[in-house]
Amino acid sequence: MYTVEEFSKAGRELEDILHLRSAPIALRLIGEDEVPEGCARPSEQGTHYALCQAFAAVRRNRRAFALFKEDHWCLWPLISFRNVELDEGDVEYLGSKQFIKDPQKSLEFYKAHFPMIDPDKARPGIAIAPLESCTFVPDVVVVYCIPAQLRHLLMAAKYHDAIVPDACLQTVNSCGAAVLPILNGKTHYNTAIPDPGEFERSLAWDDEMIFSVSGEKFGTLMDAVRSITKMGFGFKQLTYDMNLEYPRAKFYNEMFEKWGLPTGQEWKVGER
Amino acid sequence: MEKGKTALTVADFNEMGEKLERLLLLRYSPIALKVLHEGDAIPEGTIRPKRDRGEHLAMCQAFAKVRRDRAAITMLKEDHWCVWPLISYGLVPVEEEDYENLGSKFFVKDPKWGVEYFRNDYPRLNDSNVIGFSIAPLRSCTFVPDLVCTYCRPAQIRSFQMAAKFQSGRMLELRLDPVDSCVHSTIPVLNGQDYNITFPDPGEYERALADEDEVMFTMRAEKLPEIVDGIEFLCRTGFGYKELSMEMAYDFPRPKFYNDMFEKWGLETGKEWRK
Repeated sequence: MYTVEEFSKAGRELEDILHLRSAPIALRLIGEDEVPEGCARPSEQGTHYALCQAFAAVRRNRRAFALFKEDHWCLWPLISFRNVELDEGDVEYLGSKQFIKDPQKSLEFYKAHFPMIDPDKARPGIAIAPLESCTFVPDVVVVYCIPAQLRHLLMAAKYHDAIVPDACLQTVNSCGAAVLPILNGKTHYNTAIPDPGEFERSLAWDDEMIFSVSGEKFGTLMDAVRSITKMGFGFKQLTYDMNLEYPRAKFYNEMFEKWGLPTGQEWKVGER
Repeated sequence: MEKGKTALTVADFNEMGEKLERLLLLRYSPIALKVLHEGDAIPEGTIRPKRDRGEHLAMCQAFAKVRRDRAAITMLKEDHWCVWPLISYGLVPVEEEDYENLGSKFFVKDPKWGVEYFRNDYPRLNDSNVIGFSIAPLRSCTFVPDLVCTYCRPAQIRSFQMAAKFQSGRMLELRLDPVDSCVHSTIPVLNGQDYNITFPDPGEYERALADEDEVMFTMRAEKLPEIVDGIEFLCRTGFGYKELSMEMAYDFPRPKFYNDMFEKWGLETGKEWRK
């Protein structure tokens, strides 16, 4: 496992290798007296964040936060991280809010598949910071990226462990979907997609995906990211192969012949 | 070069190329272009597509190989596969009958308008004894360029525009032609215009595989120091490409069931959201 300094250094390196637009996020579950140095409490500043907004402020504005129950503005992370209790009536009520047509199926889905942290792993708070400047060892590293960068990360995840990494493509609760399978120890690598709320209120872009890796496996992943780069198959190394000496319109061939230059196959509309 | 200023070296240009890539988080290298005249030496390290590879490239494809593959290329007459740069750089003669033929290929409704445009307005290099040009990534070019062309996204173009306006106090004066992007991105600037913005044309999209969100920003090489200086100023003051970020609305309106549950949990409620 990397030290804090090694995580920070690797965070900067990952931004450079993958040409990332925003910082990878370091996330750690914390107790009330374990707020890492430099992590602000939104409620102490008179505001509240949805967890996806806190992720956005970390990765885009390089902020660092400690979020406890009273810092949240969205209910799903409060539920997912078991910061609040739900009674049977609440489960029935919230089970109907899953964008599933049939209410019964919706409730069953909610009970069986809604991302929840395992009871023995639940902690009262979450610390998040840019990986490149975090002051703590993360449980999970979360990377927002475009599909071509995700491809590099998925290739890296497969490189040492010979596995096709898991994905939790929940269309709601993307904050939980991105990190809970890892925090629960079900997988070391995970892919998620920003949900409608994250798009509308945290301003995630249309082309962004979320890749997560456990803190434990991050060093292995970085080694593979470097190896794939060295092999020439990294994000920056892959480039388009162009069709050279392509078919050209008739007048191109006519003019080239006139100028003593080579002619080639004639291009015709509709022949592709 | 302005009077009294020291001439920029190749190393200066390489350093500014590295800075541009870093400050603007550019996906691809800015392109350095130097026009070659009779008697000029071919810049060191540049490949000649026909002689060295047995290939011909359209100019947009050569640009693509430079920016994406970090290749360095010298294009003389025999290396080309597209008619338009041959004409614009004066590498081939255009006879009277050619005006009628080629003038009808500009995607304008009335062929006469096309011929008139081709005759009077189509960009041609105001230079003589030109034999071609060399192009290379700005950060590794081995020559002092005449022009620098950067392919980037609109948000990065905004930084270029802000830097240009910061230094000059003037807006850019542009004409946006949807065809012949290799010509429009380079010839007006080589003829003395400070900057230009150009959209990759249909051929560049189809054959040089320009992405749909890419736009070209071109500048005279002499303008590069003040553009880099302007971008650095914008970065320092929080208005650079990386420094601008979208502001989110916190404590946003939420659906009724959010407020219901927050009240039940002893947390704060807020304005109710309706689509």
